[in-house]
Amino acid sequence: MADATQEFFRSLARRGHDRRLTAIHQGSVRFDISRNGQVDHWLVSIAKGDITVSEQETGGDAVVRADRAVFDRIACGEAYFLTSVLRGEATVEGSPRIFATVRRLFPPPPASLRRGSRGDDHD
Amino acid sequence: MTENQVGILDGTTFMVCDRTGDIVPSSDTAHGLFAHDTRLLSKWELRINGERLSTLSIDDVHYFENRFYLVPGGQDVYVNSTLAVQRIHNLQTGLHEDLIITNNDRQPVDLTVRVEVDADFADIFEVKDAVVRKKGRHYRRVDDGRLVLGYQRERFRRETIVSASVPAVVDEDGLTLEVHIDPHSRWSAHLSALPDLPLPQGLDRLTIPGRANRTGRDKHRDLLEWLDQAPRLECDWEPLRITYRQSLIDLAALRFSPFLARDKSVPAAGLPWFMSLFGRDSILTSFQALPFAPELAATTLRVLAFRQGSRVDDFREEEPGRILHEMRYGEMTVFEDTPHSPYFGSADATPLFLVLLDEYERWTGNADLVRTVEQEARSAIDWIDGYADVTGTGYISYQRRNTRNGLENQCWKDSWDAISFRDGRLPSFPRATCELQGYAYDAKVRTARLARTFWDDPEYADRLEREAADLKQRFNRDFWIADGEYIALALDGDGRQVDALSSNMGHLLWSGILEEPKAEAVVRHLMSPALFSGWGIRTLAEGEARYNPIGYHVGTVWPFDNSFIAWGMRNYGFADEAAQVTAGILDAAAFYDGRLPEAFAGSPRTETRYPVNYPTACSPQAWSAGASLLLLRTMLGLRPVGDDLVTRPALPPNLDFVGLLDIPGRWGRLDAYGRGRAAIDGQGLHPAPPQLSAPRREGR
Repeated sequence: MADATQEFFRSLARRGHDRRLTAIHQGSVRFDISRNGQVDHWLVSIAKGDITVSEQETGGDAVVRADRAVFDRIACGEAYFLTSVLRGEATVEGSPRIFATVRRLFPPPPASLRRGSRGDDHD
Repeated sequence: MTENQVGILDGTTFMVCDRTGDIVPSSDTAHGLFAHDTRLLSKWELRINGERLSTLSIDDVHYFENRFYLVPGGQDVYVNSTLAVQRIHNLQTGLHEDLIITNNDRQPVDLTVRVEVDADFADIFEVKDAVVRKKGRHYRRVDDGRLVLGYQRERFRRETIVSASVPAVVDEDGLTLEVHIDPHSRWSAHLSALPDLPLPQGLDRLTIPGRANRTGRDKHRDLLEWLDQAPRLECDWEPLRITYRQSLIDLAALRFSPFLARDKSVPAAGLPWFMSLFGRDSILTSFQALPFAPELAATTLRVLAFRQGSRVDDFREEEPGRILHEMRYGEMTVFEDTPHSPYFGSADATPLFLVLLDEYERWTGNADLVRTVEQEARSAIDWIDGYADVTGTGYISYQRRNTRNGLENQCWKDSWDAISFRDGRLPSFPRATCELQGYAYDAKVRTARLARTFWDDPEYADRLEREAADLKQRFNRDFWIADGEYIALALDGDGRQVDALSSNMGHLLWSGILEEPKAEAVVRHLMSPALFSGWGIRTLAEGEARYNPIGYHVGTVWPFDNSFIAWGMRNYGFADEAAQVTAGILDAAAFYDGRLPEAFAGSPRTETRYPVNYPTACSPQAWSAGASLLLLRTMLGLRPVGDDLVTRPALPPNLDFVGLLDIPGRWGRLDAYGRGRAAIDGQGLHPAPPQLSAPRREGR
């Protein structure tokens, strides 16, 4: 769990392309994740669905700030990004369009199982 | 809203108070100032020298402004009162009250004016259920001459700041103003109660739906502009002119700018319980309003496309490609007691999104939008074919993923008892209601056109058309109840026909999925005494076990439902029947001063001279306001064909003349005229009767 945040950005970098993000021609989000007074930075850039990740301290059309403990839960799907922001546990600044896209990066809750495609796994 | 309540609204901010302008706390009234699904004021009571006030009159100047004319004291005193009190309520972010007291005496007066204030910060869902159980802490403090009312739960905080423009003694329960007024003089003060969302700069725009910050005068100008942009109606029946104008005003009132829409607007669903973004409601309202205010559709499509589901989430019932059902920002949503962040539990919003997209292009010629949302449109088709086909039988059906507080019925009739067999039994899940199949058929036919015309993908278009044709064939076989000659309300989880006679099959006429001979039988049923009350078509037929004329989805008449059915009747050539339904609903509108409620009772028209109220109907309600617009389209037979607007009028029997001027569209602006039978038969000089007769009859 401690590495959920790390793992999240690693898997984003590995993902390379996500067709759900094609609505964004070009944009970037910086994540400032703090722990014990120290802040780690990741800059996620999206261009027509292609994702690149770098550990960059500046830039970004939008900035997401959160404590590592909170972001770990978002990064593994345990916490929901939007309600975390609305509860004040994470903050966002910058382009609304990018913000709305960012939520698609996060994994679904672990308990939600795929079902119903042509009923193949319907009980 | 009851008769003792007065409401003003501005997008998703609204206020409900009593007839003196007071917000009176009580568990059985929904008084309050609300914004972002949160009650910002639960008490706002004016006292002059310790006395409440009595109402002389109320002037609802605009949807966002009310003026109350009052005198201090009880009813027995005011006859001799020398004090006249005026309260002017305006909505702009929060509440603004201008308080004006006139002393009509020859002596000066000294008054103690007191406003008692409280804020419970209840979630709108708590207000609706009349159970407010707060887990956080309320606080209040006097701060720099202002009263700050607050609520905090962990890092979630909401505040209301109350202040006055004149010196006031502020304590934790309200404001006291000592007032001296000379003979025949006036005193005035400005009071305000504004939300303070302790969010970093700019974040409010990011996370909370906004409203372009307009002052009262700007708002007035904005309303005039909105009315001016809409086509002009000419007709000889005044109630229709009033209904048309009221519908346009109500749609203006319900407009708000959701997240991502910038200064563009979509309609909120209805006052007071549905003042937020609903997928189904905003799509259907935008469809109804296309010939009148096409920009609503553009914004609705953009916002819903951007919010389209992208993952599987049982709690929110999100699925890739699914269009959202409801978006809320209250505490219960934020702390995930309820799933509305957003909630996706609707089986029809996704196909209807595609239907609106195509219809929007037909009216406006805006191909850019069709190209912009191509990916989302394809995902919507994938959802229909995949996730929505829960039983693997090729039909859209629903069974909730969220078994804690998800909706059992995910069609427009979403109350728990809405879908039943004739004998009252509730069917098993998944349920495939009939209108969903019509929407899916229509969505595929229309998306095929978009694929061929704009996406340069004829193979995809062919595939969709093949699937649509196959669906139509199967549907007419599997849903047809041969011995009753009507369409089953649904198929249950085992594929059995759910045989209640309902209005749902009326939507199939709109979608075009019905085979012609079956359409004739369906129309006969819709116009039979069991379904047609004389005012409109009931949600559920009289005689069915669960029929109740004041049951929300099991017997009431819904104007929006009727507007789509009437439009569908025209599509199949049943012009007389469409005119009859149109006449019934517009007659009813006249009894509501032109503002059709969400629903009214299904009691037969022969029993009462007026439509009977449904007790807790929302009003104004976006798709009820939209209903009169679609009914106008229906009577004029308006249809975009290529770059032309085609008109095929079929007016209700006693309307002589209807003209709709300056209809916007890809053609620029065009006029449409219709003459009624009465005029054609040379009876045009007769004055229109106060009420259109809509006799009930069996068959056609």
